[in-house]
Amino acid sequence: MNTKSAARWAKAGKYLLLFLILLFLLFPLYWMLITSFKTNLESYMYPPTFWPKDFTTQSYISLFTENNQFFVYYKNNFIVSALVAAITLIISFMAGYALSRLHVKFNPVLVALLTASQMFPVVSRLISLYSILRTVKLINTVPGLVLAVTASQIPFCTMLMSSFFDGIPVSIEDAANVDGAGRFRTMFSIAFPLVKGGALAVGIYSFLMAWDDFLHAAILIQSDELRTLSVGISARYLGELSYDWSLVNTISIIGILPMLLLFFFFQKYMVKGLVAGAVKG
Amino acid sequence: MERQLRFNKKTGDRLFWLLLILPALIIITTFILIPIADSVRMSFTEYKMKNILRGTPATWNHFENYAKLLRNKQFLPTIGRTFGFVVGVVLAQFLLGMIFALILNSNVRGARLIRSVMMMPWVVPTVISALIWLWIFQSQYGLFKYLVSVFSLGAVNDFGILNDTSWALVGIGIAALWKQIPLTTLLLLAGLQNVPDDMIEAATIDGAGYFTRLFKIVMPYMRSVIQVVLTMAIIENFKQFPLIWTMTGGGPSNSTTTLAIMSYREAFVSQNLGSGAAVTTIWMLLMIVVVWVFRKLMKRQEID
Amino acid sequence: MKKLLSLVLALCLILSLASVSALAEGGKTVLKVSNYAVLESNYTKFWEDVETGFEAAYPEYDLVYVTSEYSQTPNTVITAAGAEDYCDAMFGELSWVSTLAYAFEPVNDVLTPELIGEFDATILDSCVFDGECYAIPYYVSPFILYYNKDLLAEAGVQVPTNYSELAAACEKLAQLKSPITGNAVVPFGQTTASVAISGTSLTAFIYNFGGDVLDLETGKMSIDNEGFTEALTCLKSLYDAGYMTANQKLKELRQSFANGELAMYYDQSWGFSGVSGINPDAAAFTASAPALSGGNGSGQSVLNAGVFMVSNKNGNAEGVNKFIEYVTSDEVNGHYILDIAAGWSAKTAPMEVQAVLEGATGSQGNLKAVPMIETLNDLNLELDTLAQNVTLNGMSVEDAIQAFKDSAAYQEIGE
Repeated sequence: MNTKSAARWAKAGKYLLLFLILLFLLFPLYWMLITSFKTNLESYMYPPTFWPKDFTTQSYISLFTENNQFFVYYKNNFIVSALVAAITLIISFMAGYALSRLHVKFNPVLVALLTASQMFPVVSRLISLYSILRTVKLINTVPGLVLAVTASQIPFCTMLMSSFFDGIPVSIEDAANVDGAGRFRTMFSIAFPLVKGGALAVGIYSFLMAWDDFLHAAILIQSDELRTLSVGISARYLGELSYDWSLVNTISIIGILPMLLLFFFFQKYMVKGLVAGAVKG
Repeated sequence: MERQLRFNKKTGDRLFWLLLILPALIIITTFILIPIADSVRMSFTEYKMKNILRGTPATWNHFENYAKLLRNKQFLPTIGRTFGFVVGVVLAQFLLGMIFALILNSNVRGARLIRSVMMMPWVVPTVISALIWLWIFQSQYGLFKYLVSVFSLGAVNDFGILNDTSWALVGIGIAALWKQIPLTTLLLLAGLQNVPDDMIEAATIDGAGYFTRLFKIVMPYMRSVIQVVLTMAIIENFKQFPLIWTMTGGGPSNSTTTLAIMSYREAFVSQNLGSGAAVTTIWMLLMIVVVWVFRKLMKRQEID
Repeated sequence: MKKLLSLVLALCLILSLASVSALAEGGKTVLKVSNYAVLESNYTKFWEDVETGFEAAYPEYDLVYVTSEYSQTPNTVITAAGAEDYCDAMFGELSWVSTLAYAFEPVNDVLTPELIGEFDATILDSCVFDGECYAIPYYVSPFILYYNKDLLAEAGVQVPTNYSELAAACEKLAQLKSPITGNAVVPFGQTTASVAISGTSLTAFIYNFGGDVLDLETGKMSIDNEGFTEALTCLKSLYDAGYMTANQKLKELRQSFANGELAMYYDQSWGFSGVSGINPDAAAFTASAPALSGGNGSGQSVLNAGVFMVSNKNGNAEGVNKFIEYVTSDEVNGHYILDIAAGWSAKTAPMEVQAVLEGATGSQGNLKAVPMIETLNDLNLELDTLAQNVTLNGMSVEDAIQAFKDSAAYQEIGE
């Protein structure tokens, strides 16, 4: 086999592998999408149909009219995630700046603490978390949940912000300092605009992670009006009586949409941010 | 005069530093460090749900919870399963992610579009991805059962993967892979793109083949990225809970019970919080050991 | 940046205020009732109507439901109680009583004797834990056999009354295909998934054979009886012959049944609402029969009931009395068991039951209770594992029972 046809085989193999991997990643989403457009009866056909024989928007309509407690969960998830993202951003921005710019002897200890904190799973903290929040009467409240979820995001986001700052030369801030600008002013008016991309990445990342939260909300929130999305879906739609697969797939689609849109719009920053954190960190 | 300024600046700096990290420190201590310490303390006590109900305090019972765990015939298999799951998924994740990244890095058309589109599984909330795969793996109507029967040419017709004690964990592994490959690929791709072209060109001119270039130049250059990716993957899969819980709840017959599931079950199903805390403490210790050993291994490779 | 900060802070403030502000309208007494069923789509309307009806009848009360997923409800109630956040009442399963007794109070301490007197004394007896009665039964829902009339007719079999007849019927039923989906029919269904209710169902299966799981007097493990072993052997042979699938939750069995792919299966009487939820026409082909008898047994089933637990910890005994009175009134209770969830009344005065239960008349009299032990949950999960071991895992009955004994000893069940 000469090199030219070997190269062609390699190329074909490459595209085949690419196709297979993409198929694996994307087909389940397609599957979910079309099941949401099938009638319940058609969903239970075996062998399954790859395109709805009876295309119907019935599940979507039923979701908007009857099963609309779902949107309460949705709204709650948004509120909690937005708050978590905002607070995480502020706190990790400040802490990351301190870690990167200020060389205090305690820094390595802080880094070790932050790294260690990322490793502790939520499950082990649940009971104590519950007692602590119960003592300050923040059980079943939005602030309580927001604080708990923020806490699990801060370690990673702080390290991320710190590595962003590491990548930006100190010269501009030094210049500002010489010009007599105070520390806070330097940080907010000068350093912040420089890491805007990174800040956006951190904000969106913590939003996504908070959107995904399950365990915190499961333990800390008890009333239906405050429930967030993952717990709400698990509680209400994976009930004891029966599965409604078409509905489950429908709410899954709607549950994913904002995240997909968010990601597509901000992916440039997200990608740069995640990459910078990992490659340099 | 200058010295005084520098002194002031240093204390000023320290104060500033303290101020900046204080919020983060307070939150982490309150919500992470204290609960962990409390959980370890609880593992040495007899503390059940009924203690909470009756308001009776926990009684110190030394290592009784741990001794009981060691007597539990399921304990060692659970550890084995957890390790098996982590090793299996991390290896598969790395392999597939690397292959995918290599392909994307090699002048394929639409690489940029693919790179965005492939992130979709990562963006899906864990509970929803569990639902997606539950539906695909469904033992009566699932797509997976159908595909298996097609590809085995009708030999295997009734494959309900999540109902099979030997395969259920594999099924969950597939779902975990689905969610985690995108990020791994993204990071590896970035690492690949950072490898300077001139080194590769020089090697090609010297006559090095594709795989030689890959293993002798590219991968060593990417060491730190690979380390980060693998560490993240190990931690993420070690911690995994919602996916397994939603998909199988630890069954069938305990075949998907990992340490995380066992801890949750002991605490919230068997309602023995002390015992659950013991499982978690052991789990954390194991994870720390694994990550530490892993770091040591990577360092030793560097010296090589 | 400053603007963003101040916006965020303002948002935080508003939201925290909003969530802290009391949900109770001014001046009304709040009655907190833990109720998982509000989240189940088939029952939502009923419970919302109860809320409206009760508040209309007694405007001085504000009824608030505390909801959670079914399997999480006991934990939710316990953790709340640990925080001294007590519910005034709870709607739940009889099997939860032993776990939750301490979060509630004996009914004699809260409810009037007249109200308690309306309920059947034998059933109240099975609600006794630690010497006191802790629950008011809302309906009795034993495990009965639901079967597909049309499929049985097509196969030319009568509904079996014992397990030998079952095997013969299964052979013929296995040849059929579902008229709805066209998939092959599974003749028999028994839940063996790893959830507590499946353990209760398996206990019922064992009772069918006259077997025991726990000693009724002492609550200790008592499985060295013929009925226990025979029941498991029968389960294994049904699975090995391909007449049933394993690791199915009740809701999965209901799904198959609704699609005409399951010829007969064991379910709690109210499980039928799940079936008709999937397939509204299911009533046309569904019929019920008492549980099958096996070995030396008489087809005894488990006394299962939906119950209310009550408490005066918030000082709302009066309101709780009114609520229980309202919801267990002949009108509301009767409506529930007739239209919402099939079951038999637990009151001394008999009430009309759903047509689909006609075939199983008499089941509600042939019941045995499960002793209320603290580790009931663990026991049920161990029974599930036992059943999975003899079916899915292919273990021999002796080995599986030994594994069960080991595991139960470890869990300190029945000690």
